[in-house]
Amino acid sequence: MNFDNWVPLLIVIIPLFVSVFIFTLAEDKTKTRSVLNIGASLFSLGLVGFILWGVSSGHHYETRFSFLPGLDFVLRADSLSMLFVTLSSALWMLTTVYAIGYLEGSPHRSRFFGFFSLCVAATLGVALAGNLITFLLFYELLTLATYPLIVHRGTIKVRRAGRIYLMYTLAGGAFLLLGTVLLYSITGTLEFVTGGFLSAFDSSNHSLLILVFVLLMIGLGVKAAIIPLHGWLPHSMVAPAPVSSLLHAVAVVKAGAFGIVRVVYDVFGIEFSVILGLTLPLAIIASITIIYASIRALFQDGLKARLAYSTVSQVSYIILGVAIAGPLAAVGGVVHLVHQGVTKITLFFCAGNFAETLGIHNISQMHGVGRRMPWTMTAFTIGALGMIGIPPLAGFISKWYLGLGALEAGQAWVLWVLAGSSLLNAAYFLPILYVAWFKKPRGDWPAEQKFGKYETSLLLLVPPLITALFVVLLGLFASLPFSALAWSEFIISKEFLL
Amino acid sequence: MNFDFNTLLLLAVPSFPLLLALTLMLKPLSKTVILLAPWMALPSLLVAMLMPVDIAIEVPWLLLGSFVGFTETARVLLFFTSILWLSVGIYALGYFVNKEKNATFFIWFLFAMSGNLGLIIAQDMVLFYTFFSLMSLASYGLVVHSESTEALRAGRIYIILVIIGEIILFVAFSMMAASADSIEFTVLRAAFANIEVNNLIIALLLLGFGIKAGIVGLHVWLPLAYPVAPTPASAILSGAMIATGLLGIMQVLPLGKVELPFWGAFMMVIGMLSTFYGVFVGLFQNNPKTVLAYSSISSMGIMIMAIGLGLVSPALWALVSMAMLVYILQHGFAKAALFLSVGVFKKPIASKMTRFVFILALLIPVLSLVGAPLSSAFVAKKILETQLYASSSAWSEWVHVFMPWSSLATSLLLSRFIYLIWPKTIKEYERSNHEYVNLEQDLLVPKSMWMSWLFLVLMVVLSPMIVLFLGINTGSMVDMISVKALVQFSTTLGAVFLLSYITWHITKRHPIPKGLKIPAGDLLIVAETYILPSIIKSFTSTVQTVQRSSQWLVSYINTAIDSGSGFATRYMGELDKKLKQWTVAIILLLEIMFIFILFAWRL
Repeated sequence: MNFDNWVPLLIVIIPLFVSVFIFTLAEDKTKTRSVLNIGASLFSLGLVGFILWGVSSGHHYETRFSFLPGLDFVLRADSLSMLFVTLSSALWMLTTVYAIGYLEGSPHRSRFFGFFSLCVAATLGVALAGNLITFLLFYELLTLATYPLIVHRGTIKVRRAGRIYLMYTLAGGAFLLLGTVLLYSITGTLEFVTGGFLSAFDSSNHSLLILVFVLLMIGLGVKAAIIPLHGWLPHSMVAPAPVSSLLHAVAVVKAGAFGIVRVVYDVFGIEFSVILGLTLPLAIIASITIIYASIRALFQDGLKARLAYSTVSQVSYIILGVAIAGPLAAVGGVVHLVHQGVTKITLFFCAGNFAETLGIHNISQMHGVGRRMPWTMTAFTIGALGMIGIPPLAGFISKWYLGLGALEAGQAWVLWVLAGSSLLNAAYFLPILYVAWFKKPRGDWPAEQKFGKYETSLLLLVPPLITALFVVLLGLFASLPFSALAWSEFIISKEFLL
Repeated sequence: MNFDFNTLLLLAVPSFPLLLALTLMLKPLSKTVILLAPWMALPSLLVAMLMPVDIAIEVPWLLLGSFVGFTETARVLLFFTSILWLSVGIYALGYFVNKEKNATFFIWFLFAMSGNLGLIIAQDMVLFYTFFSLMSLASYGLVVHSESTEALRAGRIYIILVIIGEIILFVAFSMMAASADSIEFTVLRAAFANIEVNNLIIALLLLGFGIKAGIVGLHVWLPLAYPVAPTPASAILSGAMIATGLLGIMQVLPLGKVELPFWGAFMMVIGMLSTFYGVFVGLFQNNPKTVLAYSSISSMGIMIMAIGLGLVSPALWALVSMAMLVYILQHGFAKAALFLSVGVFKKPIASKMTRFVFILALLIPVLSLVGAPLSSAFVAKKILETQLYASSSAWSEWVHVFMPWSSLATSLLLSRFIYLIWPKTIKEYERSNHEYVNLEQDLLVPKSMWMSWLFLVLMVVLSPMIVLFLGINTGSMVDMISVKALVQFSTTLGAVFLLSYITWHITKRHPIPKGLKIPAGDLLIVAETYILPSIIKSFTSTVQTVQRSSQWLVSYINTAIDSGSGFATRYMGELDKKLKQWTVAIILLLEIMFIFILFAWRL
């Protein structure tokens, strides 16, 4: 085994190692913990950069162990996994910085950061998984690693939310396991192959394969928060802001969506999925999720609740892009993995800033926040406009490709779903901007903390500004060769054999 | 990346105001930065005057691969838009000199300027859409600047219609891009004949751009927004930004090359309707700025009619478009001048002589809009008439009849405006308000305000020459001054004067009953009072029903699970207790052993 075989494993092992080490650290060793966290995430980011360079010069990175009789444990760095890995690593670094600032002075930080790193390790494992069984392994690990983060505060309400989360995700995991086992018993292999491996098999067992698809979709759909499996998401808003940010932008929800992308492209293959008639129902469910979640968001006064429903809606864009079986829509869906992640994490970072600095949890408390915290509110504005899909921000690029893809695939009705959803997005984001920028504050803030010269702690201020900058850059320079869009086009060109 | 001078200059056009806006956001208290604001329109003015036409430059690294460029239409629009932003900006410097939050105003001002200038030079739909959104969203800040209740309400209506328009345009643009397989305007126009679902796309375009241009039915935000915005903002909204709706339609439709009888007829009818509707409702208004808003709706109606004409008889388009550009140019200057005069005329005037001079200066844009000889409106109308004379379409008869009546209508409306704006001299003011005016106080109009106003009036006068300079050949000037035209014009004016005087005399004795007033925003009020509440009610009740039923379902499942798990716990508890008894355990063990031995023996 040469170095190329160790690299993917290394990426997953580093946060695992960090996690174990942090668990052993005493509570008061703040500096050591911070240094370890940030150091590890920077090193990991560098390693990711190294892999990207290697892949572009033709290296093949794959870790393979024999794991079960007939099944290997495989970690592979192909183009789709690298997209997710880069997103996760970059956002891991920013969230770590943010979390250090956010949890300043809170109890049980070692426990938090231990599970936090474990969560990151699981996400990277999900991203790099080269077959369905490895994917399943890390997917379940992700569930277990995120539960302690959600119930970190330990109150009764929080524990109930955690219980609901576990109920949903463990049930989903059972479905996923069932689907995987069924698939293995039919085909004898679970490797991800670009273009799907099922079409090569004897196609007389269609109904069984459709059952497999449905089981897998239910399992993945819980994490991806498809209607009606989304119930855990609004409850998990009780988690601290860094958790919500990471969960909703990168880890859990994205893992579900990423899994769906993998299953449709690398297990079933897009042409075979169309033959089986699976894509239209998926598109319809995704569309219903998009519209229903947006409508629910309209009626929320809690800022994080509104953002949670917005996440449910936006992640289904990815699934919609996959379900419309055309290359342009696929590009739109895959690039939205990145764009939605970066935009949503900006919004959650800002929500956390408002909660931490001023004690604001509801939109009705946000009157005049723009004057008190202009930088944070500017980042929020950029995020909100990105969600609505105003050019030149990143969200517009995804919607444009989804729209064009829908027309290309002859599914013009999707364009109207996009239009309706943009309208709803505007309806629930613009009032927040209006209230924050154009209204006067209603007396004192609920729980104000002063942070010296700047509007809030620098650790809390800088991460959303960086991600907001990326929202602008990803859209403005989308046609440059190294943008998320170019990368998605590369991934999809392999998939559709263009 | 190919950075030649043309590209740089074109990119500087929207970038300068954008950069200054960002600087102002970081340093809101800097007076120097604010003073620089109007001058950010200079690069675009230079481009408009000096750059050769028909350039299309690709900027591959921007957005989805953009194109910036310059057509003849763009040149005219860029020219008068830049001058408008420049002069209105200088006016605004004087207008805000003693007011707070002028930094906020200028930030929105600069963003809107960047959007307005940028969309004119954009030659692909994505870049156009980007700048169009920037301009529309930044104008929101201009509308709500005073933060009064009316301003916030007008802003809300405005932003709702802007967002709806944006989304409609998104759908229309996606459809066109998908059919033509390109986002570049020249390619789109060429491929238009092959585009399917033409009718849907055109309808969407008309809806989206019509909101901006103030077509009747979509116009309801205009009479609300123009009056509440600060005067310089109203001037620039009605002079420059309203024309961008027209530009959008002209960039996308291959006018002059395609014949669309239905849509052409539709637009002509809608245009004529807008013209007269604007005048009708405008006559009932009490606020001079509202009157001007309705006048803009009326003027844009004429422009929409001209586009419709181009769709009905494409052969005429070359000259019709020339007439249109000429008209838009002067309309921009005149309308802005009229808005600025509202601010100038607010303060009492020194003497009757000064008032006489001011009124004369006011009459110039008024007369030009009505169609005095030598004005661009006159030129435009003349071109339209001569062309229609040559065409045999039935529409020519309509337009022939329409033109003089529209002049009459416009003059009626503008005479109402003059009546509303008629300033008092200092003596009259003191007499009616029973107080003394202190000349040293800031009752005098700042120099920058009346100078920029007079500058725009001058531009109105110079418009025919400007038009020639920009390369539009409108035929011999001598043709313009014929006895017949002068006679026709004088009769119109005479009729208007008589009518106005009689109306004024009558209403002095018998004021218009209150019930007859039409509030600004006309159709909107109907919608708000009757239609909208019922829509919102049914929507919320539907959502609540869905929510309640899903909650019922969830609680039902929960109860089922609870009772199930309760049952299971009890059952398991019972079973566990039984298993704890030794006897049961041993018997079970023996049974298992027996079965095991049985199997092993069988094997």
